Amino acid sequence: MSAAVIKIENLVKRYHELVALDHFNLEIKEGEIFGLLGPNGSGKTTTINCILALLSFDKGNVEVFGEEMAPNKYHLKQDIGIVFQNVAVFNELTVYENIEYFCGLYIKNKQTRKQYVEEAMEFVGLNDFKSFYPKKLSGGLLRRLNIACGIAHKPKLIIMDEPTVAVDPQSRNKILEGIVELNKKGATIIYTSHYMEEVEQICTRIAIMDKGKNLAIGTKEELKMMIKTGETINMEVLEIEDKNLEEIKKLPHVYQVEYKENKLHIKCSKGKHNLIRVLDYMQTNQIAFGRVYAELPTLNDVFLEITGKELRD
Amino acid sequence: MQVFKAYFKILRDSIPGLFIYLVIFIAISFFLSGSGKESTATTFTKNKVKIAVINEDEGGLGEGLKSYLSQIHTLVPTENDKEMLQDQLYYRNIEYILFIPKDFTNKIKNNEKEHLCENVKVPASYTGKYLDSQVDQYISTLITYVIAGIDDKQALEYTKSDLEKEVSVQLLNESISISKADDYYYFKYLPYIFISVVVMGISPILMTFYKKEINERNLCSPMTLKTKSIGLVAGSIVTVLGIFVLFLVFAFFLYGKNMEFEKTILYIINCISFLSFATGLGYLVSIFSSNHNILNMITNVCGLGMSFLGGIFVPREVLGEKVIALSKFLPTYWYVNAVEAIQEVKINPSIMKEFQINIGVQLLFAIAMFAIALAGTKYKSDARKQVS
Ligand SMILES: Nc1ncnc2c1ncn2[C@@H]1O[C@H](COP(=O)(O)OP(=O)(O)OP(=O)(O)O)[C@@H](O)[C@H]1O
Ligand SMILES: [Mg+2]
Repeated sequence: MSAAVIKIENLVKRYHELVALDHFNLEIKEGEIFGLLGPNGSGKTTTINCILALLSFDKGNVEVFGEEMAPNKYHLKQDIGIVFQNVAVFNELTVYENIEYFCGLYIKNKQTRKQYVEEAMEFVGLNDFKSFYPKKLSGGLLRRLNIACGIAHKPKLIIMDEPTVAVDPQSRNKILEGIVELNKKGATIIYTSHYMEEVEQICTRIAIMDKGKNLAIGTKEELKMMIKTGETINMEVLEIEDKNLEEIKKLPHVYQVEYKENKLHIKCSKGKHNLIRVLDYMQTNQIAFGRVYAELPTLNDVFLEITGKELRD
Repeated sequence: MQVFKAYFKILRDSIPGLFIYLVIFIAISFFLSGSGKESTATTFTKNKVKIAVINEDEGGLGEGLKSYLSQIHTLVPTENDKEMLQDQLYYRNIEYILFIPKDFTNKIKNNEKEHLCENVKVPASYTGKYLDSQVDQYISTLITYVIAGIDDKQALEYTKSDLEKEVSVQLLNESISISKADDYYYFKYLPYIFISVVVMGISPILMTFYKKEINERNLCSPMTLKTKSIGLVAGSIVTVLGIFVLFLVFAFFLYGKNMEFEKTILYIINCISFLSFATGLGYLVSIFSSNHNILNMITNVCGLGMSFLGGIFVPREVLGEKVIALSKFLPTYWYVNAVEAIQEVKINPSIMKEFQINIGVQLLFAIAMFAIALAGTKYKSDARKQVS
């Protein structure tokens, strides 16, 4: 079993009346790409700030690399790379100078540093913008600079707080590929997001949080197993009577039927032959239908079922 | 080292602004020292002061004093109208007014030395002191002759010829200080530029490092708080010293020929004291201004305000008593005082003490700035802790 890189136990963080983290537990192992999934205001950033000892908390404890984290644990900080949700770069410094500055906080050797900075620039694809000032960069490029500043020193643990907000899909894919690559090179990664697709795409394990609580944790397959929904059957239906809807709902494994905008959504719990049974029913009752497709559950379904609300509004 | 290096990279942004200030300053000091020079040039060659003498003496000695002064200075004919005299004084048509009372001759004959005459002068001006001492000298010489029983007319003659010898010597001596050299104006205007330039060279950089994102990002790194502070302090010290050296080199370049060693040293001490204050102000301002517009506003208000009130742009005599009383709460006041003292230190070594006091007060201001700034940072980080 690989060692825990991060261990959070019973973490409670209050902002006056508001409980931002409510007995939050988390354990992240070496080599993982760990996704922290939650809607806005669920406490992702707060969790990260607690891990980094930027925030003091009311209860619980946080261990990093098997040691309790504190503001003066500089040897722990040495091995952490951080990409904040809010871009943290110097507007007065160029792309190169920014990466050099942040890398230099960790890497004292000039030669090594130079090499690392070059590599980081290559990695995020900012070579052509070396002497640009951040103000002159587009949103996506700025995010990439933010990432380069966080990872240039080759940390063992990389924490990324929504690094792809406001990034176009192309840049986003590049960033995601990069993250996987960093992970392959041996870095443990914590990745927060409220885009479930991203998290599904790259994370080896995922925690779903809401209102400061850790609601579910596991691989994406495990998470999907946790919920009732096996598949959702969607079909285009021009006309259907309420009576038929009621009957469909009574079919085995079907637990929810929804008809809106000429589309029929049938949610089935796990079981075999769900689709065939529905198609059979339609034919025997002579209900005309168009395109049919079945969907496996997404993390959104998981989230929906656990919290009763959509991940994204 | 990273912070120290970053300091100067961030400073690059301020350089155009700093350069503009430099040009403005040099223009101002040229312009003002040029106009000052003209007026001193006349006082220098003739050493004449425009005076008014209101003689009401019933004896003959008052007239003697009046005619003696009229030989050395320019006598402006006036009437004994208080308001008009004040106006004349204000507009510098007259720099000194002497009232010789009715009983002037009588008092001298009775060997009364105190309060023989009254005068009104430009407050704290050199010409005022200069005339005071001339009048005093005249009267004390005159009294000696009169008491000795020599008749009035003869006594006046003797007094006049006695003083003529001395006056020529005195003039030589004092002319050194009565003319304000160009370096006087240069150094007098420096605080204005120091405030602007130092605040500009320190505050934006500190503000950048105080920014929430940057601050937190730095906190996540293995750099200790001490390392960071040392980097910032070293950066600001080097910047301030750089600014200082720049202006000093400039002063040497322009006025090097006329600047004596002692004077130069005193100027340097005075500048360093004021720069300490300005540095403290820079720290303070960076804590309380959240963006560059506010920073510029504060800089301008502080720079111009302190310069006007402290008597840098406007001669202090014009400012009125209340303003002067108020300006004692500004370090510029003490800086200007010290500059004035430096002008006289050669003829009046005892003024060194005054100089030291002025330096001391400036340093106290500097300490106060740093103390408030420190408390401010504490307050600020406490505030953050409360939320976080
Ligand atoms: N400094 C603060 N003072 C008071 N409340 C705060 C503060 N920071 C965060 N909160 C509150 O704590 C809760 C958690 O915030 P947090 O920033 O951790 O959410 P998040 O999951 O990162 O959201 P997002 O996806 O928008 O980044 C929110 O309700 C937020 O309003
Ligand atoms: Mg967040």
